Amino acid sequence: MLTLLNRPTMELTRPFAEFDRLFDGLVGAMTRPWAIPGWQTCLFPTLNAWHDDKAMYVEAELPGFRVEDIDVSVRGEELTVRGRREIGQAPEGTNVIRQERWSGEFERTIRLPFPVEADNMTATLKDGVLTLTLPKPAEIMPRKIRVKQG
Amino acid sequence: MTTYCNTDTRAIRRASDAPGQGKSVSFFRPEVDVYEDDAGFRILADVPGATADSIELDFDGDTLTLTARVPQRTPESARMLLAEHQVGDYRRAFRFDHSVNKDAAAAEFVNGVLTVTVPKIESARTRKVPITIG
Repeated sequence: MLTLLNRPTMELTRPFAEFDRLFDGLVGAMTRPWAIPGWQTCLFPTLNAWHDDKAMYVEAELPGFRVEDIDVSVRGEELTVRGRREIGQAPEGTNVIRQERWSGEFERTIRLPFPVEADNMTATLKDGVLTLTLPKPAEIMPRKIRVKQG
Repeated sequence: MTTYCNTDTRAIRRASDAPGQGKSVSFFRPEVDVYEDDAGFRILADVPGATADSIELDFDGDTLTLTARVPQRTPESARMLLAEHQVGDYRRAFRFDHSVNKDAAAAEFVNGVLTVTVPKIESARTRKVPITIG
């Protein structure tokens, strides 16, 4: 399995996030004394990852991000995805009825379960979904061994 | 304990949204921003994985329903390493008062975000009355 190394480095500004945290803190303190307000942050973006014989694939939902808002890097056994989305202030004279979409910065790092060819990594962003393809090096690709007739 | 950002809305599967269909249909509820100004309403919805073709916007009376079909992206034979989000169709409904011009509603889909503009009808707009000093 992959190991989740860290939480987002910066708090995502979401409406009610502060309330959630306080509530978590108040209720949590009664049931879980170690649940200190602010200690819990949410993971963003959520990731799905899978692999086949050729590569490992990592997928994140990043709606409203442009290619230039996202930065992906592999360092050793760690894959890091960083990004930023600005929702912007509502112009004057605008009545904000609902604001659920967040804005801010995120950073997530996962530990790769096997070495990858980082130089041949590809990233595509389509319809708000980021997909990374991390090819496996030849030495870890499965090989079929022919059985000879004795 | 790990908290996922979108557990609160995205992961809530709503089987109750399709009454009378005889089968249980579940949807994800997209996160939205809704703004109103003098000209009308603007709805922004995060619908990653949808496409312009897969989105339907239907006005029924004063209710606008947004539906988006989202195909599965993970191959069925995939050997999963990490599964933090599920993928599925989106649905969310918005109710307006009677002051909107349904026929002039417009929508645009860019990078997984749908923007819907629904103008108000002329008589519902605030009118500034010029005051002349005599």
